[in-house]
Amino acid sequence: MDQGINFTYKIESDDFIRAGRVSSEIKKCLSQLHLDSKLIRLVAICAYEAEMNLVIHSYGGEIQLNITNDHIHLTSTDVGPGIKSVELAMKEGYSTASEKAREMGFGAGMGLPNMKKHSDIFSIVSSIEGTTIKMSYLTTPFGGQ
Amino acid sequence: MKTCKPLIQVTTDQCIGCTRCMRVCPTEAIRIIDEKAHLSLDKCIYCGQCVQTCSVNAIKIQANEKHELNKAHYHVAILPIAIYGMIKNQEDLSVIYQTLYDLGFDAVMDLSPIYSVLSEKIARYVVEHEDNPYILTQCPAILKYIQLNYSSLVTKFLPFDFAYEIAARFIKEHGEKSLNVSKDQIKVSYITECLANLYAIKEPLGKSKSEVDYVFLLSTIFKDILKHLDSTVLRQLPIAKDGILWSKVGALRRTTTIRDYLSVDGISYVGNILEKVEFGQLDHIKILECYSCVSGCVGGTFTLENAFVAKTKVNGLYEMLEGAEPMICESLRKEEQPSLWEFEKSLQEFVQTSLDGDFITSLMKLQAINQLYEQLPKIDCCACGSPSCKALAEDVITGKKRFEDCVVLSKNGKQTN
Repeated sequence: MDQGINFTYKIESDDFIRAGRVSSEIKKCLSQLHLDSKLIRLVAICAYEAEMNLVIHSYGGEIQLNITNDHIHLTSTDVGPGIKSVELAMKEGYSTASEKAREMGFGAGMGLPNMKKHSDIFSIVSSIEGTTIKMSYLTTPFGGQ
Repeated sequence: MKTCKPLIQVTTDQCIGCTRCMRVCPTEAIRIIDEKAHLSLDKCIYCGQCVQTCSVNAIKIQANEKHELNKAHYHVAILPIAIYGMIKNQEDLSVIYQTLYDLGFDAVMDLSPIYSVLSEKIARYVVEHEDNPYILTQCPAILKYIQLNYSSLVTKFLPFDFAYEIAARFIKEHGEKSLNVSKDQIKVSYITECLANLYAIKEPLGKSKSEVDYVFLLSTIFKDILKHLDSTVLRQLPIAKDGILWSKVGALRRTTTIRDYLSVDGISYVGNILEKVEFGQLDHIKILECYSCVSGCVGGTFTLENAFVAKTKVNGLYEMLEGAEPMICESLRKEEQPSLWEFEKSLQEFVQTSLDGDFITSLMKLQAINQLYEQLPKIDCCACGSPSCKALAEDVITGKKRFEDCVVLSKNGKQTN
Protein backbone atom coordinates (compact mmCIF):
# COMPACT_ATOMS: atom_id res chain seq x y z
CA MET A 1 0.00 0.00 0.00
CA ASP A 2 3.03 2.33 -0.26
CA GLN A 3 1.66 3.85 -3.45
CA GLY A 4 -1.80 4.05 -1.97
CA ILE A 5 -4.91 3.92 -4.11
CA ASN A 6 -5.96 6.26 -6.89
CA PHE A 7 -9.23 7.62 -8.10
CA THR A 8 -9.39 9.67 -11.28
CA TYR A 9 -12.24 11.95 -12.22
CA LYS A 10 -12.57 13.55 -15.67
CA ILE A 11 -13.90 17.08 -15.84
CA GLU A 12 -15.16 18.71 -19.00
CA SER A 13 -14.78 22.36 -19.82
CA ASP A 14 -17.95 24.47 -19.43
CA ASP A 15 -19.83 21.60 -17.77
CA PHE A 16 -21.62 23.92 -15.35
CA ILE A 17 -24.61 21.63 -15.02
CA ARG A 18 -22.67 18.83 -13.36
CA ALA A 19 -20.11 21.02 -11.62
CA GLY A 20 -19.64 19.97 -8.02
CA ARG A 21 -20.28 16.26 -8.58
CA VAL A 22 -16.65 15.27 -8.50
CA SER A 23 -16.02 17.03 -5.18
CA SER A 24 -19.13 15.34 -3.88
CA GLU A 25 -17.76 11.93 -4.96
CA ILE A 26 -14.43 12.68 -3.35
CA LYS A 27 -16.11 13.63 -0.10
CA LYS A 28 -18.15 10.40 -0.13
CA CYS A 29 -15.01 8.36 -0.76
CA LEU A 30 -13.16 9.90 2.18
CA SER A 31 -16.17 9.60 4.47
CA GLN A 32 -15.91 5.82 4.26
CA LEU A 33 -12.39 5.82 5.63
CA HIS A 34 -13.01 6.92 9.19
CA LEU A 35 -11.06 10.15 8.85
CA ASP A 36 -11.53 13.30 10.87
CA SER A 37 -14.47 15.23 9.46
CA LYS A 38 -12.53 18.51 9.58
CA LEU A 39 -9.85 17.03 7.32
CA ILE A 40 -12.47 15.69 4.92
CA ARG A 41 -13.95 19.16 4.73
CA LEU A 42 -10.58 20.72 3.87
CA VAL A 43 -10.02 18.26 1.03
CA ALA A 44 -13.60 18.77 -0.18
CA ILE A 45 -13.21 22.56 -0.27
CA CYS A 46 -10.02 22.26 -2.35
CA ALA A 47 -11.57 19.65 -4.64
CA TYR A 48 -14.51 21.96 -5.23
CA GLU A 49 -12.34 24.96 -6.06
CA ALA A 50 -10.19 22.85 -8.38
CA GLU A 51 -13.24 21.37 -10.07
CA MET A 52 -14.79 24.80 -10.64
CA ASN A 53 -11.52 26.14 -12.02
CA LEU A 54 -11.37 23.28 -14.51
CA VAL A 55 -14.96 23.87 -15.59
CA ILE A 56 -14.62 27.65 -15.89
CA HIS A 57 -11.07 28.24 -17.10
CA SER A 58 -9.61 25.09 -18.65
CA TYR A 59 -10.08 23.21 -21.91
CA GLY A 60 -10.89 20.21 -19.72
CA GLY A 61 -8.85 18.07 -17.39
CA GLU A 62 -8.97 15.70 -14.47
CA ILE A 63 -8.69 15.51 -10.72
CA GLN A 64 -6.77 12.68 -9.19
CA LEU A 65 -7.25 11.58 -5.62
CA ASN A 66 -4.45 9.51 -4.14
CA ILE A 67 -4.77 8.10 -0.65
CA THR A 68 -1.79 6.50 1.09
CA ASN A 69 -1.48 5.30 4.66
CA ASP A 70 -0.46 8.74 5.89
CA HIS A 71 -1.31 11.26 3.17
CA ILE A 72 -4.04 12.41 0.86
CA HIS A 73 -2.88 13.93 -2.42
CA LEU A 74 -5.18 15.88 -4.67
CA THR A 75 -3.90 16.70 -8.16
CA SER A 76 -5.65 18.82 -10.74
CA THR A 77 -4.32 18.71 -14.30
CA ASP A 78 -5.66 20.27 -17.45
CA VAL A 79 -4.71 20.64 -21.11
CA GLY A 80 -4.53 24.41 -21.18
CA PRO A 81 -4.73 27.30 -21.80
CA GLY A 82 -2.56 27.95 -18.73
CA ILE A 83 -2.48 30.82 -16.26
CA LYS A 84 -0.80 33.97 -17.57
CA SER A 85 0.57 35.09 -14.23
CA VAL A 86 0.52 32.54 -11.43
CA GLU A 87 1.78 35.21 -9.05
CA LEU A 88 -1.24 37.42 -9.73
CA ALA A 89 -3.65 34.47 -9.67
CA MET A 90 -2.46 33.57 -6.19
CA LYS A 91 -3.50 37.01 -4.87
CA GLU A 92 -6.78 37.05 -2.97
CA GLY A 93 -9.46 38.80 -4.97
CA TYR A 94 -7.51 38.78 -8.26
CA SER A 95 -9.74 37.48 -10.99
CA THR A 96 -9.79 37.33 -14.75
CA ALA A 97 -13.54 36.83 -14.71
CA SER A 98 -15.69 39.49 -16.34
CA GLU A 99 -17.92 41.81 -14.34
CA LYS A 100 -20.91 39.78 -15.52
CA ALA A 101 -19.47 36.44 -14.40
CA ARG A 102 -18.67 37.92 -11.01
CA GLU A 103 -22.21 39.16 -10.62
CA MET A 104 -23.35 35.59 -11.20
CA GLY A 105 -21.15 34.46 -8.34
CA PHE A 106 -18.28 33.07 -10.38
CA GLY A 107 -14.68 34.18 -10.32
CA ALA A 108 -14.43 35.86 -6.93
CA GLY A 109 -10.68 35.48 -7.22
CA MET A 110 -10.47 33.21 -4.22
CA GLY A 111 -10.00 29.81 -5.89
CA LEU A 112 -6.24 29.38 -5.79
CA PRO A 113 -5.70 31.25 -2.50
CA ASN A 114 -8.42 29.07 -0.95
CA MET A 115 -6.73 25.89 -2.16
CA LYS A 116 -3.43 27.03 -0.70
CA LYS A 117 -5.04 28.05 2.58
CA HIS A 118 -6.83 24.74 3.02
CA SER A 119 -3.99 22.34 2.17
CA ASP A 120 -0.78 21.37 4.00
CA ILE A 121 1.41 21.40 0.89
CA PHE A 122 0.48 23.33 -2.24
CA SER A 123 2.24 23.66 -5.57
CA ILE A 124 1.26 25.00 -8.97
CA VAL A 125 2.95 24.79 -12.35
CA SER A 126 1.42 26.41 -15.40
CA SER A 127 2.24 26.82 -19.07
CA ILE A 128 0.16 27.15 -22.24
CA GLU A 129 0.11 23.34 -22.43
CA GLY A 130 -1.70 23.17 -19.15
CA THR A 131 -1.74 23.68 -15.42
CA THR A 132 -0.95 21.19 -12.67
CA ILE A 133 -1.93 21.92 -9.09
CA LYS A 134 -0.84 19.56 -6.32
CA MET A 135 -2.25 19.64 -2.85
CA SER A 136 -1.31 17.33 0.01
CA TYR A 137 -2.68 16.66 3.45
CA LEU A 138 -1.36 14.71 6.37
CA THR A 139 -4.09 12.27 7.37
CA THR A 140 -5.39 12.38 10.89
CA PRO A 141 -7.40 9.40 12.03
CA PHE A 142 -10.88 10.08 13.35
CA GLY A 143 -10.94 12.25 16.49
CA GLY A 144 -7.21 12.93 16.29
CA GLN A 145 -5.68 16.28 15.59
CA MET B 1 -37.91 6.88 28.81
CA LYS B 2 -36.46 4.45 26.36
CA THR B 3 -38.95 2.18 24.67
CA CYS B 4 -38.10 -1.46 24.20
CA LYS B 5 -39.68 -1.59 20.79
CA PRO B 6 -38.07 0.56 18.08
CA LEU B 7 -40.01 3.73 17.22
CA ILE B 8 -40.28 2.66 13.64
CA GLN B 9 -40.57 -0.91 12.48
CA VAL B 10 -41.27 -2.88 9.35
CA THR B 11 -44.14 -5.34 9.69
CA THR B 12 -42.69 -8.20 7.71
CA ASP B 13 -46.08 -9.88 7.17
CA GLN B 14 -47.26 -6.83 5.27
CA CYS B 15 -44.05 -5.85 3.48
CA ILE B 16 -44.02 -6.92 -0.17
CA GLY B 17 -40.37 -5.96 -0.79
CA CYS B 18 -41.25 -3.41 -3.46
CA THR B 19 -38.14 -1.18 -2.92
CA ARG B 20 -40.19 2.05 -2.80
CA CYS B 21 -39.12 2.96 0.76
CA MET B 22 -35.49 2.12 -0.02
CA ARG B 23 -35.46 4.45 -3.01
CA VAL B 24 -36.74 7.47 -1.06
CA CYS B 25 -34.54 7.00 2.00
CA PRO B 26 -32.08 9.94 2.08
CA THR B 27 -29.47 8.09 4.14
CA GLU B 28 -29.63 4.69 2.40
CA ALA B 29 -30.72 3.13 5.68
CA ILE B 30 -32.98 0.53 4.03
CA ARG B 31 -32.13 -2.72 2.25
CA ILE B 32 -34.44 -5.38 0.86
CA ILE B 33 -33.32 -8.80 2.03
CA ASP B 34 -35.35 -11.90 1.13
CA GLU B 35 -38.08 -9.67 -0.24
CA LYS B 36 -38.54 -7.75 3.00
CA ALA B 37 -37.42 -4.24 3.91
CA HIS B 38 -34.79 -4.00 6.66
CA LEU B 39 -34.15 -0.71 8.39
CA SER B 40 -30.81 0.24 10.01
CA LEU B 41 -31.87 2.49 12.85
CA ASP B 42 -28.37 3.87 13.37
CA LYS B 43 -28.61 5.46 9.92
CA CYS B 44 -32.29 6.43 10.20
CA ILE B 45 -32.97 10.16 10.60
CA TYR B 46 -36.69 9.62 11.21
CA CYS B 47 -37.73 11.86 8.32
CA GLY B 48 -40.78 9.68 7.65
CA GLN B 49 -40.21 9.43 3.88
CA CYS B 50 -40.52 5.64 3.96
CA VAL B 51 -43.70 5.76 6.05
CA GLN B 52 -45.33 8.13 3.58
CA THR B 53 -44.16 6.16 0.56
CA CYS B 54 -45.09 2.64 1.67
CA SER B 55 -48.00 1.45 -0.44
CA VAL B 56 -49.05 -1.35 1.89
CA ASN B 57 -48.73 0.48 5.21
CA ALA B 58 -46.07 -1.91 6.45
CA ILE B 59 -43.92 0.62 8.32
CA LYS B 60 -45.37 1.15 11.77
CA ILE B 61 -44.79 3.90 14.32
CA GLN B 62 -44.54 3.24 18.03
CA ALA B 63 -46.17 6.07 20.03
CA ASN B 64 -48.26 6.48 23.19
CA GLU B 65 -51.92 5.58 23.19
CA LYS B 66 -54.49 8.15 24.29
CA HIS B 67 -55.96 6.16 27.18
CA GLU B 68 -52.68 6.20 29.09
CA LEU B 69 -53.48 9.48 30.91
CA ASN B 70 -53.32 8.80 34.63
CA LYS B 71 -55.94 10.77 36.60
CA ALA B 72 -53.57 11.32 39.54
CA HIS B 73 -51.40 13.64 37.45
CA TYR B 74 -51.87 17.12 36.07
CA HIS B 75 -51.72 16.73 32.29
CA VAL B 76 -50.63 19.46 29.93
CA ALA B 77 -50.82 19.00 26.17
CA ILE B 78 -48.50 20.92 23.87
CA LEU B 79 -49.93 21.53 20.42
CA PRO B 80 -47.52 21.36 17.49
CA ILE B 81 -46.96 24.54 15.49
CA ALA B 82 -48.20 22.65 12.41
CA ILE B 83 -51.71 22.90 13.86
CA TYR B 84 -51.92 26.35 12.22
CA GLY B 85 -51.96 24.68 8.85
CA MET B 86 -55.14 22.85 9.84
CA ILE B 87 -57.32 25.66 11.18
CA LYS B 88 -58.91 28.74 9.65
CA ASN B 89 -59.42 30.99 12.68
CA GLN B 90 -59.09 31.35 16.45
CA GLU B 91 -62.46 29.70 17.00
CA ASP B 92 -61.21 26.53 15.30
CA LEU B 93 -58.39 26.47 17.83
CA SER B 94 -60.92 26.39 20.66
CA VAL B 95 -62.39 23.21 19.16
CA ILE B 96 -58.99 21.58 19.39
CA TYR B 97 -58.53 22.80 22.97
CA GLN B 98 -61.93 21.40 23.97
CA THR B 99 -61.11 18.08 22.30
CA LEU B 100 -57.97 17.80 24.40
CA TYR B 101 -59.80 18.74 27.63
CA ASP B 102 -62.32 16.01 26.93
CA LEU B 103 -59.53 13.53 26.34
CA GLY B 104 -58.39 14.18 29.92
CA PHE B 105 -55.89 17.02 29.63
CA ASP B 106 -56.04 19.71 32.31
CA ALA B 107 -54.35 22.40 30.25
CA VAL B 108 -53.24 23.03 26.68
CA MET B 109 -50.38 25.16 25.42
CA ASP B 110 -49.75 26.22 21.86
CA LEU B 111 -46.26 26.95 20.60
CA SER B 112 -46.85 30.31 18.89
CA PRO B 113 -45.67 32.41 21.89
CA ILE B 114 -42.50 30.32 22.25
CA TYR B 115 -41.65 30.75 18.57
CA SER B 116 -42.47 34.42 18.66
CA VAL B 117 -39.93 35.04 21.42
CA LEU B 118 -37.48 32.55 19.91
CA SER B 119 -37.39 34.64 16.70
CA GLU B 120 -36.18 37.61 18.73
CA LYS B 121 -33.55 35.51 20.49
CA ILE B 122 -32.22 34.10 17.20
CA ALA B 123 -32.06 37.55 15.62
CA ARG B 124 -30.02 38.79 18.59
CA TYR B 125 -27.76 35.74 18.56
CA VAL B 126 -26.70 36.05 14.93
CA VAL B 127 -25.92 39.73 15.34
CA GLU B 128 -23.75 39.05 18.38
CA HIS B 129 -21.87 36.07 16.87
CA GLU B 130 -19.88 35.83 13.68
CA ASP B 131 -19.20 32.19 12.92
CA ASN B 132 -21.92 32.03 10.25
CA PRO B 133 -23.65 30.38 8.50
CA TYR B 134 -25.68 29.31 11.53
CA ILE B 135 -27.97 26.35 11.12
CA LEU B 136 -31.44 26.54 12.59
CA THR B 137 -32.20 23.72 15.02
CA GLN B 138 -35.94 23.13 14.94
CA CYS B 139 -36.08 20.03 12.73
CA PRO B 140 -34.63 16.97 14.53
CA ALA B 141 -34.40 15.00 11.28
CA ILE B 142 -32.10 17.67 9.85
CA LEU B 143 -29.98 17.65 13.01
CA LYS B 144 -29.40 13.91 12.77
CA TYR B 145 -28.84 14.16 9.00
CA ILE B 146 -26.05 16.66 9.64
CA GLN B 147 -24.62 14.70 12.58
CA LEU B 148 -24.39 11.66 10.32
CA ASN B 149 -23.58 12.90 6.83
CA TYR B 150 -22.34 16.49 7.11
CA SER B 151 -20.62 16.15 10.43
CA SER B 152 -18.10 18.96 9.94
CA LEU B 153 -21.10 21.31 10.26
CA VAL B 154 -22.08 20.36 13.84
CA THR B 155 -20.28 23.46 15.06
CA LYS B 156 -22.68 25.59 13.01
CA PHE B 157 -25.81 24.69 14.96
CA LEU B 158 -27.61 27.45 16.82
CA PRO B 159 -27.77 26.64 20.55
CA PHE B 160 -31.58 26.78 20.78
CA ASP B 161 -33.55 23.69 21.71
CA PHE B 162 -36.78 22.53 20.04
CA ALA B 163 -39.75 24.80 20.84
CA TYR B 164 -41.75 22.01 22.52
CA GLU B 165 -38.83 21.22 24.83
CA ILE B 166 -38.63 24.89 25.81
CA ALA B 167 -42.40 24.83 26.39
CA ALA B 168 -42.21 21.65 28.49
CA ARG B 169 -39.49 23.11 30.72
CA PHE B 170 -41.45 26.35 31.06
CA ILE B 171 -44.64 24.48 31.99
CA LYS B 172 -42.89 22.41 34.66
CA GLU B 173 -41.12 25.42 36.20
CA HIS B 174 -44.17 27.65 36.22
CA GLY B 175 -46.80 25.02 36.85
CA GLU B 176 -45.30 24.42 40.25
CA LYS B 177 -45.74 28.07 41.23
CA SER B 178 -49.03 28.96 39.57
CA LEU B 179 -50.95 25.69 39.77
CA ASN B 180 -49.80 24.59 43.17
CA VAL B 181 -48.88 21.10 41.98
CA SER B 182 -45.46 19.57 42.46
CA LYS B 183 -43.16 19.34 39.47
CA ASP B 184 -43.35 15.56 39.15
CA GLN B 185 -47.14 15.66 39.31
CA ILE B 186 -47.14 17.60 36.05
CA LYS B 187 -47.03 15.42 32.95
CA VAL B 188 -46.40 17.04 29.62
CA SER B 189 -47.62 15.47 26.38
CA TYR B 190 -46.60 16.56 22.93
CA ILE B 191 -49.04 16.05 20.10
CA THR B 192 -46.51 15.51 17.35
CA GLU B 193 -46.89 16.37 13.68
CA CYS B 194 -43.93 14.27 12.61
CA LEU B 195 -41.84 11.22 13.33
CA ALA B 196 -38.64 13.21 13.91
CA ASN B 197 -40.05 14.94 16.99
CA LEU B 198 -41.19 11.60 18.38
CA TYR B 199 -37.64 10.34 17.94
CA ALA B 200 -36.07 13.45 19.47
CA ILE B 201 -38.23 13.06 22.58
CA LYS B 202 -37.66 9.32 23.01
CA GLU B 203 -33.94 9.51 22.28
CA PRO B 204 -33.09 13.05 23.41
CA LEU B 205 -30.79 15.15 21.23
CA GLY B 206 -28.55 17.64 23.02
CA LYS B 207 -29.79 16.73 26.50
CA SER B 208 -29.81 13.78 28.84
CA LYS B 209 -33.57 13.74 29.32
CA SER B 210 -36.59 15.21 27.57
CA GLU B 211 -39.12 17.05 29.74
CA VAL B 212 -41.89 15.72 27.49
CA ASP B 213 -43.42 12.67 29.17
CA TYR B 214 -45.77 11.37 26.49
CA VAL B 215 -46.02 11.70 22.73
CA PHE B 216 -49.22 11.32 20.74
CA LEU B 217 -49.52 11.43 16.98
CA LEU B 218 -51.51 14.40 15.72
CA SER B 219 -53.34 12.13 13.29
CA THR B 220 -54.76 10.00 16.12
CA ILE B 221 -56.68 12.89 17.71
CA PHE B 222 -58.20 14.01 14.42
CA LYS B 223 -61.31 11.87 14.78
CA ASP B 224 -61.92 13.35 18.21
CA ILE B 225 -61.55 16.86 16.81
CA LEU B 226 -64.19 16.13 14.18
CA LYS B 227 -66.59 14.97 16.89
CA HIS B 228 -66.21 18.31 18.66
CA LEU B 229 -66.81 20.50 15.67
CA ASP B 230 -70.48 21.09 16.42
CA SER B 231 -70.61 20.71 20.19
CA THR B 232 -67.84 23.10 21.25
CA VAL B 233 -68.57 26.58 22.56
CA LEU B 234 -66.42 28.70 20.29
CA ARG B 235 -64.05 31.15 21.90
CA GLN B 236 -61.37 33.44 20.53
CA LEU B 237 -58.10 32.10 21.84
CA PRO B 238 -55.00 34.29 21.97
CA ILE B 239 -52.37 33.43 19.38
CA ALA B 240 -48.93 35.00 18.94
CA LYS B 241 -49.17 36.27 15.39
CA ASP B 242 -45.50 36.05 14.44
CA GLY B 243 -45.17 32.65 16.06
CA ILE B 244 -47.58 30.88 13.73
CA LEU B 245 -45.33 31.59 10.75
CA TRP B 246 -42.96 28.96 12.15
CA SER B 247 -45.37 26.28 11.03
CA LYS B 248 -43.95 26.71 7.55
CA VAL B 249 -40.57 27.34 6.03
CA GLY B 250 -39.19 30.90 5.94
CA ALA B 251 -40.59 32.31 9.20
CA LEU B 252 -37.52 34.39 10.03
CA ARG B 253 -37.84 36.36 6.82
CA ARG B 254 -41.09 37.86 8.09
CA THR B 255 -40.38 37.98 11.82
CA THR B 256 -36.84 39.39 11.84
CA THR B 257 -34.68 41.74 9.80
CA ILE B 258 -31.96 39.16 9.19
CA ARG B 259 -30.51 39.44 5.70
CA ASP B 260 -28.68 36.67 3.87
CA TYR B 261 -31.11 34.08 5.08
CA LEU B 262 -31.43 30.83 3.17
CA SER B 263 -34.30 28.37 3.54
CA VAL B 264 -34.62 24.93 2.04
CA ASP B 265 -37.41 22.43 2.56
CA GLY B 266 -37.75 18.83 1.46
CA ILE B 267 -35.05 16.38 2.50
CA SER B 268 -34.02 15.57 -1.08
CA TYR B 269 -32.96 19.21 -1.61
CA VAL B 270 -31.33 19.72 1.76
CA GLY B 271 -28.26 17.57 1.05
CA ASN B 272 -27.19 19.73 -1.86
CA ILE B 273 -27.26 22.89 0.19
CA LEU B 274 -25.43 21.31 3.12
CA GLU B 275 -22.76 20.18 0.70
CA LYS B 276 -22.38 23.74 -0.55
CA VAL B 277 -21.90 24.88 3.04
CA GLU B 278 -19.25 22.19 3.54
CA PHE B 279 -17.46 23.30 0.37
CA GLY B 280 -17.32 26.81 1.81
CA GLN B 281 -19.58 28.24 -0.88
CA LEU B 282 -22.17 29.76 1.45
CA ASP B 283 -20.02 31.53 4.01
CA HIS B 284 -21.84 34.81 3.35
CA ILE B 285 -25.16 33.31 4.55
CA LYS B 286 -26.09 34.34 8.07
CA ILE B 287 -28.74 31.72 8.81
CA LEU B 288 -29.52 28.47 7.09
CA GLU B 289 -32.93 26.99 7.70
CA CYS B 290 -33.55 23.40 6.62
CA TYR B 291 -36.67 21.31 7.00
CA SER B 292 -36.94 17.66 6.17
CA CYS B 293 -40.60 18.03 5.16
CA VAL B 294 -41.77 19.95 2.13
CA SER B 295 -43.10 23.37 3.27
CA GLY B 296 -41.72 22.88 6.80
CA CYS B 297 -43.65 21.51 9.79
CA VAL B 298 -47.04 21.77 8.08
CA GLY B 299 -45.73 19.05 5.76
CA GLY B 300 -45.22 16.60 8.67
CA THR B 301 -46.22 12.95 8.25
CA PHE B 302 -49.06 13.15 10.78
CA THR B 303 -50.65 16.43 9.73
CA LEU B 304 -53.87 15.92 7.87
CA GLU B 305 -53.73 18.81 5.47
CA ASN B 306 -51.82 18.87 2.22
CA ALA B 307 -48.63 20.87 2.85
CA PHE B 308 -49.36 23.45 0.16
CA VAL B 309 -52.97 23.99 1.22
CA ALA B 310 -51.71 24.26 4.80
CA LYS B 311 -49.27 27.00 3.83
CA THR B 312 -52.12 29.04 2.37
CA LYS B 313 -54.15 28.54 5.54
CA VAL B 314 -51.29 29.80 7.67
CA ASN B 315 -50.96 32.90 5.49
CA GLY B 316 -54.69 33.54 5.70
CA LEU B 317 -54.69 33.19 9.46
CA TYR B 318 -51.67 35.46 9.75
CA GLU B 319 -53.38 38.22 7.80
CA MET B 320 -56.51 37.91 9.87
CA LEU B 321 -54.91 38.00 13.31
CA GLU B 322 -54.61 41.23 15.25
CA GLY B 323 -51.17 42.27 16.45
CA ALA B 324 -51.92 41.95 20.17
CA GLU B 325 -49.83 39.15 21.64
CA PRO B 326 -50.81 36.75 24.43
CA MET B 327 -49.65 37.69 27.95
CA ILE B 328 -47.40 34.66 28.13
CA CYS B 329 -44.98 36.27 25.63
CA GLU B 330 -43.93 38.86 28.20
CA SER B 331 -43.32 36.17 30.85
CA LEU B 332 -41.23 34.24 28.33
CA ARG B 333 -39.14 37.30 27.51
CA LYS B 334 -38.30 37.70 31.19
CA GLU B 335 -36.91 34.18 31.30
CA GLU B 336 -33.42 34.77 30.06
CA GLN B 337 -31.63 31.77 31.54
CA PRO B 338 -30.00 29.64 28.82
CA SER B 339 -31.14 26.46 30.61
CA LEU B 340 -34.67 27.19 29.43
CA TRP B 341 -33.91 28.03 25.80
CA GLU B 342 -30.78 26.16 24.88
CA PHE B 343 -29.60 22.59 24.49
CA GLU B 344 -28.01 21.24 27.64
CA LYS B 345 -24.97 20.02 25.71
CA SER B 346 -23.73 20.79 22.22
CA LEU B 347 -24.68 18.38 19.45
CA GLN B 348 -21.82 16.12 18.45
CA GLU B 349 -21.16 14.28 15.22
CA PHE B 350 -22.24 10.66 14.98
CA VAL B 351 -19.40 8.38 14.13
CA GLN B 352 -20.30 6.66 10.86
CA THR B 353 -19.15 3.10 10.67
CA SER B 354 -16.25 3.11 8.25
CA LEU B 355 -15.51 0.16 5.99
CA ASP B 356 -13.04 -1.22 8.51
CA GLY B 357 -11.58 -0.23 11.86
CA ASP B 358 -8.12 -0.38 10.32
CA PHE B 359 -7.34 2.48 7.95
CA ILE B 360 -5.31 0.46 5.44
CA THR B 361 -7.91 -2.31 5.30
CA SER B 362 -10.69 0.22 4.79
CA LEU B 363 -8.66 1.76 1.98
CA MET B 364 -8.31 -1.61 0.28
CA LYS B 365 -12.01 -2.24 0.67
CA LEU B 366 -12.74 1.13 -0.89
CA GLN B 367 -10.65 0.15 -3.88
CA ALA B 368 -12.42 -3.20 -4.11
CA ILE B 369 -15.78 -1.44 -4.06
CA ASN B 370 -14.78 0.76 -6.96
CA GLN B 371 -13.49 -2.19 -8.99
CA LEU B 372 -16.72 -4.07 -8.35
CA TYR B 373 -18.80 -1.03 -9.21
CA GLU B 374 -17.14 -0.87 -12.62
CA GLN B 375 -18.56 -4.33 -13.41
CA LEU B 376 -22.12 -3.41 -12.42
CA PRO B 377 -24.63 -2.01 -14.96
CA LYS B 378 -24.80 1.42 -13.21
CA ILE B 379 -28.50 1.84 -13.88
CA ASP B 380 -29.52 1.95 -10.20
CA CYS B 381 -32.59 -0.20 -10.80
CA CYS B 382 -32.68 -1.27 -7.12
CA ALA B 383 -33.96 -4.75 -8.00
CA CYS B 384 -31.06 -6.32 -6.07
CA GLY B 385 -32.38 -4.78 -2.87
CA SER B 386 -29.70 -2.11 -2.52
CA PRO B 387 -30.50 1.54 -3.27
CA SER B 388 -27.92 1.96 -6.08
CA CYS B 389 -25.25 0.01 -7.94
CA LYS B 390 -22.65 1.77 -5.81
CA ALA B 391 -24.50 0.69 -2.67
CA LEU B 392 -24.63 -2.90 -3.92
CA ALA B 393 -20.87 -2.84 -4.47
CA GLU B 394 -20.44 -1.62 -0.89
CA ASP B 395 -22.85 -4.23 0.43
CA VAL B 396 -21.00 -7.03 -1.38
CA ILE B 397 -17.62 -5.95 -0.02
CA THR B 398 -18.99 -5.55 3.52
CA GLY B 399 -20.64 -8.97 3.28
CA LYS B 400 -24.27 -7.89 3.35
CA LYS B 401 -25.09 -8.90 -0.23
CA ARG B 402 -23.76 -11.09 -3.00
CA PHE B 403 -22.60 -10.05 -6.44
CA GLU B 404 -25.15 -12.52 -7.88
CA ASP B 405 -27.91 -10.38 -6.38
CA CYS B 406 -27.56 -8.09 -9.40
CA VAL B 407 -30.67 -8.97 -11.37
CA VAL B 408 -29.54 -7.30 -14.59
CA LEU B 409 -26.27 -9.22 -14.82
CA SER B 410 -27.99 -12.51 -13.90
CA LYS B 411 -30.59 -11.97 -16.60
CA ASN B 412 -27.98 -11.23 -19.24
CA GLY B 413 -25.87 -14.17 -18.12
CA LYS B 414 -22.85 -11.90 -17.95
CA GLN B 415 -21.73 -12.95 -14.52
CA THR B 416 -18.27 -14.35 -14.36
CA ASN B 417 -18.11 -15.50 -10.75
